[in-house]
Amino acid sequence: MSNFFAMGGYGFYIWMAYGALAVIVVAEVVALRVRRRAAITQARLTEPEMTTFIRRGPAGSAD
Amino acid sequence: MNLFRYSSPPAFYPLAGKLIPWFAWTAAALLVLGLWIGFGIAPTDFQQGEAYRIIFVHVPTAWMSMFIYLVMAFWGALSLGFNTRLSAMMAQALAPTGALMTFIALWSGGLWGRPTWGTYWAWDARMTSELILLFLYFGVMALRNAIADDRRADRACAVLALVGAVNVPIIYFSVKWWNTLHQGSSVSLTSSPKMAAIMLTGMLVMALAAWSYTIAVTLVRVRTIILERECGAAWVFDLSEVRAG
Amino acid sequence: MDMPIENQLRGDAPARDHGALAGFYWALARDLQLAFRSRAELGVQLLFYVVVVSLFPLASTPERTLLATMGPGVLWVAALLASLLSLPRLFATDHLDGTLEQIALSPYPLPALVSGKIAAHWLTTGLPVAVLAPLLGQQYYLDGESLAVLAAALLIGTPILSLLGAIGAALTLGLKGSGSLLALLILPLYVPVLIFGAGAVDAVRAGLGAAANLSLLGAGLLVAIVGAPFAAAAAVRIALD
Repeated sequence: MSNFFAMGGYGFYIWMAYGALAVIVVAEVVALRVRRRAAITQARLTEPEMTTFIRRGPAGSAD
Repeated sequence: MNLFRYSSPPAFYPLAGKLIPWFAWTAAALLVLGLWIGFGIAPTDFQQGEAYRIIFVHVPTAWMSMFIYLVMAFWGALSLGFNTRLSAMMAQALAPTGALMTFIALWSGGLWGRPTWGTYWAWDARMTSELILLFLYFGVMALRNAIADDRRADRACAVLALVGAVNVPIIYFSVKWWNTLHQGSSVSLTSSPKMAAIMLTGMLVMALAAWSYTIAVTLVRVRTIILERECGAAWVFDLSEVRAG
Repeated sequence: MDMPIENQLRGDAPARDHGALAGFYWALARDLQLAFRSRAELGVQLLFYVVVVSLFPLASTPERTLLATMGPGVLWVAALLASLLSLPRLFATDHLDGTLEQIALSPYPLPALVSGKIAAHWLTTGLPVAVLAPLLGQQYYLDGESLAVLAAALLIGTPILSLLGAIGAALTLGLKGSGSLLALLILPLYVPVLIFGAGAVDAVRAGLGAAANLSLLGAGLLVAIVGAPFAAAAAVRIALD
């Protein structure tokens, strides 16, 4: 197992390279999650256009 | 089947949502397979020892960095030609992933160069062109960021991406020319070990993993961009995830 | 030329030619006139070039052979920076007072008008640099043949800088921090010009001919002349919409 990590003496370089890949992939996915959350929250708080006209019934109805 | 109906954001949004898991799981599976080939099966290289195993991350990300730029320019061209919002959003979604791929290619290339040729950086044609490609990505992203109006940003970034795409081969050729003239160090950070078939297979599997990952991540990002830009549209407000909050 | 610009652009005079060449000359003449009125600004930009070129030896070494090796590169990079410094002048001043919109609305083809502006920009920026560089090259102990090739390379290359720079200037019109953004956008595209331009002088110093480098520069210039005005015109319309 320690042989695997040592990688014939080149362990530092190999794991720095693959480590950067792992960090960046995780960071990208996490950042996307955060951005999507923020977009969804913003969308929920934004009053949609034309809803009052399309979805509500005539004045006085139950809607 | 009329595919053009998917060029409207409300039609594309759910389609993309269904596609993401397929590409994400495929990417994960291919990554595991690629790493297994790269570390488990591929033999130690005679000249470079274990250090060559970095090519399984360096080469696929370098390929993707260039491919993504071309695809970004393609979507930009479509958005200019057909004046479609969604094409521009796709271009917008591709840029960050392309820049990250370029960075990983440069980073891993340097880490490969240090143990094998003694230096983290060498001004060889491919690494230098890759560095300039990173600047080109930054340029597109900075321009997008600087322009407040979405549609103007769409068109400006499309023009810039196209001008960049035309220039990338010219830049590569010029750097290669410059490099061969100044062949002081005969170091090329990308002269790879003679490719055993298994090494090539590993690289191809990793490349497919990167491609699949890119598609998954870009679809997620474009869905978010659609939400951000179509905010206030009735169909957005009606989405289940927006209603649930 | 003494009519208000709207009238000129509307072409109030009977049978006025609104072709590309007429547009080119109109824009060229107008921009040269305007540039001539602010001669001091042009002079300052040229002085910038002189100062920057003089800084490098002070920062490194006055040693002859090293300076001669560095010289072509320094003279070229300074030319790139001088070009970047002067590019905002191309569209921004017209944009600020609304003239650019009038220009875009005129019956002249916009790429022709943009070409005229670019030509004026080159005549007031690139050409003086190309003329001045051989004089400044003396500071780098470059010999006569190298200086001649340097001047030739700059004469062919600086128009490319103006042409490509115009695209960047149009894309970044009116944006905050447009100066640095313009540099970020344009400098990567300048790299081939830099490589072949400085490479021409290096080749001559190494005893190989400069023909290959200069031909490639020439080819690049032709491609830029054909393509850049249209890209820049498209970028201007995008910025104005």
